[in-house]
Amino acid sequence: MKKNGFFETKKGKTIAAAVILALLVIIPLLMDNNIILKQNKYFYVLLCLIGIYTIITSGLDILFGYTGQISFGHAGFFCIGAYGSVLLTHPGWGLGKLTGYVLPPILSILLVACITACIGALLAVPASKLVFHFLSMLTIAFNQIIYLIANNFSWLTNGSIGITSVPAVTILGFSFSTVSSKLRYYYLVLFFVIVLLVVKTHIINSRVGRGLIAIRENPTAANGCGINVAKYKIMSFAISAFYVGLAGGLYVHMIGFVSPDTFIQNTSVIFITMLLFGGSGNLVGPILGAAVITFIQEGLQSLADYRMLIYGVLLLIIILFQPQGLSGLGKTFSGLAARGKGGESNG
Amino acid sequence: MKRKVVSVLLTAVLAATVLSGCKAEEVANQNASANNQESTPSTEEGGASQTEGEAPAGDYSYVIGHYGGITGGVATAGTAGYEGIQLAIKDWNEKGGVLGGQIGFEFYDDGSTTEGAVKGVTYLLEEKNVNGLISSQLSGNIQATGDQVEAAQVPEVGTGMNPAWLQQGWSYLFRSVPSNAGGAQPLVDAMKSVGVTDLGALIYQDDGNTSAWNYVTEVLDNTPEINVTTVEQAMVGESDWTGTLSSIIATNPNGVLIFAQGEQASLMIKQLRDLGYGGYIFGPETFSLPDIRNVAGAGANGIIFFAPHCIPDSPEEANTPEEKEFLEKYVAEYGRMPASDVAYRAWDATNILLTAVEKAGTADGPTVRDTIKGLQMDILAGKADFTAYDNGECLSGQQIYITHDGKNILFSKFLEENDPALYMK
Amino acid sequence: MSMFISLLVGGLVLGCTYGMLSLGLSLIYQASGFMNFTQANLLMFGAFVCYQFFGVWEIPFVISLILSVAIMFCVGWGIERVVIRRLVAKKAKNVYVVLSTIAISIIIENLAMLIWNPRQHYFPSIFKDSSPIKIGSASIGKESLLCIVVALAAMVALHFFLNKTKFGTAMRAAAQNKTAASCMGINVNKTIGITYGIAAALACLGGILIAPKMTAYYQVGNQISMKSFAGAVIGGYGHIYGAIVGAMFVGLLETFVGAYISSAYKELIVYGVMILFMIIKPSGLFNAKVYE
Repeated sequence: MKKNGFFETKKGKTIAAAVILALLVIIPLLMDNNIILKQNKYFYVLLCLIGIYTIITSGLDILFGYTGQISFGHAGFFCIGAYGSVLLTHPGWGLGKLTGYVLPPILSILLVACITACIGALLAVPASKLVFHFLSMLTIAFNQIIYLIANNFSWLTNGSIGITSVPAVTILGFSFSTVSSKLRYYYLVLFFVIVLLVVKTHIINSRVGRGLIAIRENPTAANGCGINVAKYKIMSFAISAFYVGLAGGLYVHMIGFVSPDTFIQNTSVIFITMLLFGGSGNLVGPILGAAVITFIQEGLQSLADYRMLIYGVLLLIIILFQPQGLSGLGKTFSGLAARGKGGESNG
Repeated sequence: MKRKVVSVLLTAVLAATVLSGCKAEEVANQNASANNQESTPSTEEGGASQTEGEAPAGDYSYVIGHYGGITGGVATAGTAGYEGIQLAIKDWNEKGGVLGGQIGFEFYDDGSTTEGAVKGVTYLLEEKNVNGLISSQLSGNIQATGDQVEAAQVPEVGTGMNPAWLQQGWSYLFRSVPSNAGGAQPLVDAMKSVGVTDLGALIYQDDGNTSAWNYVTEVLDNTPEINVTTVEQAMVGESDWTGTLSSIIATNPNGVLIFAQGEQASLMIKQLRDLGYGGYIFGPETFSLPDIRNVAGAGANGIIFFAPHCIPDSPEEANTPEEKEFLEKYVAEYGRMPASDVAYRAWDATNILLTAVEKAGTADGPTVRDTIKGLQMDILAGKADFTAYDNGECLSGQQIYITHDGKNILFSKFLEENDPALYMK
Repeated sequence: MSMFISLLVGGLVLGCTYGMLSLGLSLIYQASGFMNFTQANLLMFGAFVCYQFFGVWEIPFVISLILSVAIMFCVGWGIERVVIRRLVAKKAKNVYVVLSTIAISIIIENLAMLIWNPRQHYFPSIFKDSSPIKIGSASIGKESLLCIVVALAAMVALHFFLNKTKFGTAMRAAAQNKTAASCMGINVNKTIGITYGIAAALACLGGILIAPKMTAYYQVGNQISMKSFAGAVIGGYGHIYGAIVGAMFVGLLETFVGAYISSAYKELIVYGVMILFMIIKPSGLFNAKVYE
């Protein structure tokens, strides 16, 4: 295979990343000061949500794209992250109700992400042994149970009524309150997205990452090469859960309200569709998936009740004709171009 | 080759969708900015100052935003509310609009979810720059977005019946119906008057029904005549309650209370009747949904419920001339009766908001809010009086209805003509 | 005692409905090795089709039932023909096939909502006299009895179809070993397509039988879907008789727990039992292959 130009080289990739990053920082800043476009707070909400979904899909990608393990229950981890952070920071609930002391939100988000990772590891102990179908069902059941706990244990979670006035994130007296503007929060989310994506790249390129990929390709062979398959799968689950738990914390401090409805099993399915839409097993795919699905959902708003139908049809088309997701489109095109020039086609 | 074509098409479709989303935003931006210039003379005419960034979109003098669920779990009620608002705005526009221009309408389908509501409110406030809001009928969604509405200083008239969201101290929120707290006492009185001594209860675990049940429990605690035999819970998403209902019947109650959304309540009633229970059933405002009688059939007879509104079978059977007028317009517009009383609430909410705007003579948020606070007017739900309450309520108390011979009639009327123990088993 | 009888009947009705779905899930898994998320929405759609014939156009019930089952059979076959077979031919990964079924179920659900609107549709009584039957002091809806009888009859019929007819034998052969079966002159594609058709027809039957109790409503599938999966897992995924036993077990468990233990925690208990099965005995009551 020959290298496809500048952006395939390491230096090119670094520069491209830096440029995109700079744009992501500068454009909203310019918008906020009415220099380009118009100040548009609704746009920041979408950006924040895209950021949060990017974290989730990237986490899911470690599990699914790199380790080959399916999960239809990531909304369960999302739920633990969201409720966990509320219970640690809200003066009227959980820790605040019991002891009168609360944690600062930024600390609780990180703490809850760690707790979620532990729960993910626990779930992975039985899950690591199961084949695809049973893994799907175990994760579905896990999601249902977490949802039911959030809905039934009213003394802890206020049941279906939900908890309002979730405190805003404050770092050293600098408030990230989302009530009047979500621009600051966008930068907070962006910070986490970048850190987590860098961490993800490092994990994938490390010994662990190669182990995970080996498991995806062939568990038996991986085992034969001395990789402890069960241990690596548990690690993969834990890392994935960490990402999603952290996203849950970020989500709840942005929305300012939490109720069990958000964490139904359908949400897990949406996470998976985002990942597949964008393309799994690479860095860009999860970002693309989160962004495109969020924009499609909003772009189709004017279609009212036809929205979900069109969404389903698009999804089916993607699965049928573009199984590598959007991030694979480039490859498909270059492959086609090569074929057009008389190059060898492989399907 | 085939694959290439499909890939190209796919990219095109996706690009188009994404672009259409962005384009809509741009167009809206242009509209809004164009309006900033255009609206200057109109505000001079109105003699009012507009808050920054609240210029109405398009050629409208006042824009109402609405977020609600026309898809998702409670789409029946959501659609009815959506239609009620549109009908009211059309009605006003035919009469010449408000503030010397026509009234615009912006809608966001939140799919009955909280995240949808948060996105929707931001979209309506920031993207569409609406002047006033009509909320979803889901109290949880109103509560989740209250801070935002308060910060944007946009008056919002809500249609949810849970008292909670008007107890948070928000000053821009109002309600166009009495809260469900007022239904508890009359419902328990009705239980006493038909001679219920042992009551079994089934409560659907969503915010509206659990809060309504809490108020009934308070009243029941002070009612020694009625003994609660068992309280069972129905979880969101279930559709079969044979086990739960059997265990309620096993405690031998002579009255059963069911608090649930219309979709679930109709199934619960049918399943309860199939299990052989023939006595009185008590319920909340959702029981006024005509679907209840459709689904439960003859089993719906003997249901007693509180409600601010009760949809009759035809406009001719309306209780008041105002209701008759509203229903005639509704039938003329949509060719059928409303599927849920949320249509009534939304109609009232729109009328309250627009009346206040007309009185205030400006689209300015704080002024309209203060005008609503002093508003007294007749609405479908009765005599609305915002001055009597300090938190945005305008009415209290509920009417009690009974389903008898396949029709919903006032309970007091039923008592005049029938033996109270008619449906006691 | 009367409570016990009503619970038993209620549990069996639920169990039969779940059974119709988990039977379809197991049939498909056995024949093609894929999970399928469309079953519950096919159940919902089948109920709507029958509602259209029986409730709106007032065609006699038996004819409506046969017509809708036939239509849903074709729908099931069509899904296999148009979507699943293409994906399999492309050697797509397992998960893409499963996701395509999720996409199809989103499409079916929203089609139903758009065609018949999002309200609940009252399914007219199948019997002229709809008053419940009294057994001792217990009362049982006639439609519940009908549901149990027809479901059991369908299961027995399926058993004979698979074991006593030539085509049924071909289907079982194709499920066991595709290559060997096609060498013996069996059209494997056709048998798999018909399996999807049968699964859809069973789901449709379940939907019609439960409709008098749960109405025709576009969201009826969601919960039933998860429970029928639980049933299939507990029975042993891919095992046809296991699916029936597992589904009955889930239906009865749900009903009895709801009545005797706690209405709030019945779902938790059902899913808890499912997880316990997956941890302790994932091969289910009837041994199925589950480990990697």
